[in-house]
Amino acid sequence: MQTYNCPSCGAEIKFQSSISVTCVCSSCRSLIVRKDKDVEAMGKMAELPDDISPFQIGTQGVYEGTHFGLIGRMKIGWEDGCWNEWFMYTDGGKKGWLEEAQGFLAISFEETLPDSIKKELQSPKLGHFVTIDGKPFSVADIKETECISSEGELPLVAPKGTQSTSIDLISRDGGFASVEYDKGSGSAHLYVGEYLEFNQLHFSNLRELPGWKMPLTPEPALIGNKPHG
Amino acid sequence: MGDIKKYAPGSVKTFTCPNCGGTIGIRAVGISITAVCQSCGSIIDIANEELNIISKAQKNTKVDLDLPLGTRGHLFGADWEVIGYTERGDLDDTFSWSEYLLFNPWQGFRFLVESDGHWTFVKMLRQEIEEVNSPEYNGKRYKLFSRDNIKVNYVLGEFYWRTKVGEKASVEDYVAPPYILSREDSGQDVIWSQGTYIRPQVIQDAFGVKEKWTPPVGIAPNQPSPVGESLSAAVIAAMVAMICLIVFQIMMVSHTKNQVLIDTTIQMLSTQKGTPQTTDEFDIPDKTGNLEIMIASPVDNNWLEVEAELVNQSTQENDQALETVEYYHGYDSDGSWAEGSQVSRDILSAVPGGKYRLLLTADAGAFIPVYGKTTPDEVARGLPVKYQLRVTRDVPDWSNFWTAFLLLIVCPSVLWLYHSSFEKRRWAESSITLSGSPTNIRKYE
Repeated sequence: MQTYNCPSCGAEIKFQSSISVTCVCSSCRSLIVRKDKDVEAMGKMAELPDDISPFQIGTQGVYEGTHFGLIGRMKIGWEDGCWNEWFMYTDGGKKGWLEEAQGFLAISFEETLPDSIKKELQSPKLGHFVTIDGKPFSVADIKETECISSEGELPLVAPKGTQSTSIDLISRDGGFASVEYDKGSGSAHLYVGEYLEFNQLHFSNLRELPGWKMPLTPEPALIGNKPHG
Repeated sequence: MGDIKKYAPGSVKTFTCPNCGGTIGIRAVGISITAVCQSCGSIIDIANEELNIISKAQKNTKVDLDLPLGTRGHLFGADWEVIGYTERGDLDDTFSWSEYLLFNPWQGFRFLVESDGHWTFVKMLRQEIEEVNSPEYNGKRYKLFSRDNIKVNYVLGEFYWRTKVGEKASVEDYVAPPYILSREDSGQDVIWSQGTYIRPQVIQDAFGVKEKWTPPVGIAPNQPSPVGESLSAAVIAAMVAMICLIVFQIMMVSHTKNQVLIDTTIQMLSTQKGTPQTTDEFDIPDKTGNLEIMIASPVDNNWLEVEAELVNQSTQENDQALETVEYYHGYDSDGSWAEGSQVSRDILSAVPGGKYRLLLTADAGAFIPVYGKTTPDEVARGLPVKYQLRVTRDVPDWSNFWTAFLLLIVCPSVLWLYHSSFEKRRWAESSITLSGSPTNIRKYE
């Protein structure tokens, strides 16, 4: 963990993950970008619009026997609403994301985007088949998106208003993949993972939702490491 | 972990209807993008602050819902709140059904679909499904049942998609009772979902509905056959019982002694007709057991009937067996034929051991004089008939076996008949004709 002071308000800022590059100051909502040994403010982040998400920064879970913690969130908006992309702190330094959209959960990790796929999805069509990691995926959704707001740490610089084209792909066995084209920088990223049920992820430290009884989460089967603090 | 920041709690959020000024409450805050004003029925776009009116006042704003908005119920291990209601139907308004949108903050969304009183719990899938007439999902094959062009008739509550009255789609249903797999093509995208049939009582209990619902009408596409499970259980049970029965019978047969007590040839004359002939006293061994009385006679296009009365010499108790042998054969237009048998067997069960005699009274076709052939002399001397009598102690008895065997077949057969008639009635409702079933799925135009 690294600690800095917010260049804007002076409050303490903690970077828990070494792969995080930005952080939203929890006191003044400035977007802080980490550069070498220093940090720099990049304008203010808008307040996150209210939602009924059961997650919060600090929520932990277990995926494939390994603990993860949610340390940042991006609120992505598109023509027909918005969804949450939670940045996961995990062992192994992989960039993991928990996508929470319309009641569906998906966990994915960033992978190198092969040029062939990048080219193939340049002008994407629904139902188009692409082979990712040797598995056929079909294009299920193409959305023009915008970063509405964010909180906590993120592994990428996405100020409010960052526009992207987001292509969601699904496979026959519940696999999930997503290709994001950043309209500003022109960079593209590939995320590969799967759709999961809430009960499969053994969440703890969930957000309290008034009027709803917190579900009991079964004890996870852990492999190896102890939970992160 | 570091600082935990809490945002405004995710409770009901309200805003003002831009059409009538009424209050609209939102339950799935941040997810719902369409809401219907309960006062005026306008459909409002709530995806952003602008609150655009998608459509003004629907005609019938008050509809009696089986599950009113806001009702909660516990189903499949989670609490579900009814947050939206859609009535959909075919384009000609010949049929319609209800779709309740259920929400749970942790589990997401489900649907309860009610059609003619039948209920199905549906989950939308995020999975590629092969576009064939019998797609597979979760290891189960589904059969194409119906294909319809449909539209939205009426909406209430809130939705996480943009909805509009009159919005059309093409829907295909595939069934593997109690499951159903549906493919919905809006023209823009294709959504697959999977549902499970639920008895209305289960829904009523789950959502605490007190009032009586009208019972389901007809058979739902994914309604499980009421005997489906009993049928397979009955078949398995019958098969197990049959194996036991066969093993038991083999053991019984292999343990029989087949002890011949009498084996003799008896001749009778027509003059003795009606007068019983008595065998010598004979000994039936063992405490108890069955006794087979066999009569054999080489009757040829003729008959012989022997009444055998078994009399216990110490108790005078008797038991009777009537043995008839008849054998006929000949030729007709179909060729040669033969019927009957020259042997007759009868098994007396539980005959106690002891000293016995058999009283035999016979009548036969051979006792009747043949006109122009039998001489009066012969009649006076008596027309003869010969037969073999064999009395055997402890023989294999197959009659109980076959009775039990038949009974074991009856139960599964009756269930199967019922099951197949149920399946017939189900598929009679299918809009898919087997012969003309196309391989390619038609998209909605």
